[in-house]
Amino acid sequence: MRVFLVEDSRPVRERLAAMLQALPGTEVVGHASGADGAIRHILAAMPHVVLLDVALAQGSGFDVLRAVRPSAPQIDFYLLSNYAGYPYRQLTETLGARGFFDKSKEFERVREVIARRAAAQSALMGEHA
Amino acid sequence: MRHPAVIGAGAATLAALLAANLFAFTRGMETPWLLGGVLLVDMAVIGACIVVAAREVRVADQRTRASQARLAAIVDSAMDAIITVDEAQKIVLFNRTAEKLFRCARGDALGAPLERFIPSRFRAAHRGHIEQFGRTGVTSRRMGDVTTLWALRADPEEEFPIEASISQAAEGGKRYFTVILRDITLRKQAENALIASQRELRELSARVLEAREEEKTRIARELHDELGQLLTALKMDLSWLRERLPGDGETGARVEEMGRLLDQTVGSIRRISADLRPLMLDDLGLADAASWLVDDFGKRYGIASRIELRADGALDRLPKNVSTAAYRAIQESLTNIARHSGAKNAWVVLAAENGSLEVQVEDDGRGIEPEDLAKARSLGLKGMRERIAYLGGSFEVARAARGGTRLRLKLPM
Repeated sequence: MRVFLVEDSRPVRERLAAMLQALPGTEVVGHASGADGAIRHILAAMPHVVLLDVALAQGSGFDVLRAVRPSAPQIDFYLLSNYAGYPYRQLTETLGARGFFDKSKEFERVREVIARRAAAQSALMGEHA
Repeated sequence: MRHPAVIGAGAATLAALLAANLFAFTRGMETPWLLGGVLLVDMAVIGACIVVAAREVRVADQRTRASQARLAAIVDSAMDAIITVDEAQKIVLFNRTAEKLFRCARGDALGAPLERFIPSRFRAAHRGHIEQFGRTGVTSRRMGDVTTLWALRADPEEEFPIEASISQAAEGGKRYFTVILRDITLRKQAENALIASQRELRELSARVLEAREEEKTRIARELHDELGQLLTALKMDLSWLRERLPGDGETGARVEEMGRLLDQTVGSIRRISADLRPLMLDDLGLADAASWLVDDFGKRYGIASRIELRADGALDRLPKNVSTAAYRAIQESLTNIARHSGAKNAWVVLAAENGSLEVQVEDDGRGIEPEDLAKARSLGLKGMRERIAYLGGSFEVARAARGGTRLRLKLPM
């Protein structure tokens, strides 16, 4: 399963990438730190899953969601952010993301969710195979 | 002169003289020498009386003149200009200050119409005012209570603001009007300077508030993002470590403790950052930020708090200073409710209509007293008032209809 990372903090991005790469059947296919770059790369790489931060070096995760969702609704977005107040969660849901995780307190759940998602993906691929 | 002894002596002398006259006349021609003597004494007494009377008149005359001179000196030395006109509004008195003020010699002013010292555009109205004042019979009043009065000085012609009072008095069947006036050019200048300086101060205080808000935003953002990201990375590493360490024993317990401490630190940073500046206000807009604020306030203080939004999207497109002012006003009001009101309920309304943003915050507490508004501790209220005024809005804090306090403010969007 192809995962794209949108995260502007290098220490966090590196750790997330390492964590995801360690999951069976998961491949990190690219990363971006600003909204514009993210939109361009995601539309080019067409990953299965995007792990998205809200506060970015330029623009916000919401900008990415608004731009990509209409043209690529099949991509699953998961937000991972330190901005965890419910209005942020609400907006995330409105914009059609699959999930929201508090970056400091819930990041371990990301691994579970992505692992499950990857397992489902490979099962799907197996069926197709 | 008016001493009782003198009057007594005078009366006694006159009585003796009367007796001498009677005696001399009844004796008739028998004693011509006596008659002649008495007549001589009579003439002497009458002469003395004439002399005394003439002196009295002269002294009284001198006194009158002295008192008139004193009065004239007072009128002349007065710091205010004093001008008296007769019924035809011709000048009959013009003191020295008036000469200086209007740059006109007394000789030129006396007999001239008062109008030459009034700017032409006010002349007709002024004539009417004096006539009306004459009819009222009121002895004196201040002129131009609300507006500034203007006078005209000669050589070169120049208008200047005055403060004046008018009085009327009748003398010998004629009516005279006296105007006492002073030049308030300097005071006007000082007033204008004060108004200008107040405006500047208001602007300055608004700028300072704005700069402070920007500073707080920057610090909040850096705290939240920079420190937040580093702490997140640290938590990730700790999680990695925990998976590779034996889960039991002292080491495991210490790792768990580290995790808890990190969580606490993250919580503190988020709280400090939110107190400094609600980043949500910049990220999501006033509606979301205010909703969150009201909700969080209710949870923190156990006061049932509701927010009502009467706007469609307009709240998300507000200029930053307007949304900041509205947010801070709600925040300040809620803080006051928690501190002073003892309320059980709080209601917040945010409405955007007809190009203006309206904010209402109401509670069911004990209600604000008028003196609370004036107290130093309501610096927050003063700051709020300044901020709103600077943005061209209106602001009012009063007792609510159902008890408690209500704040109402309007801001142009």
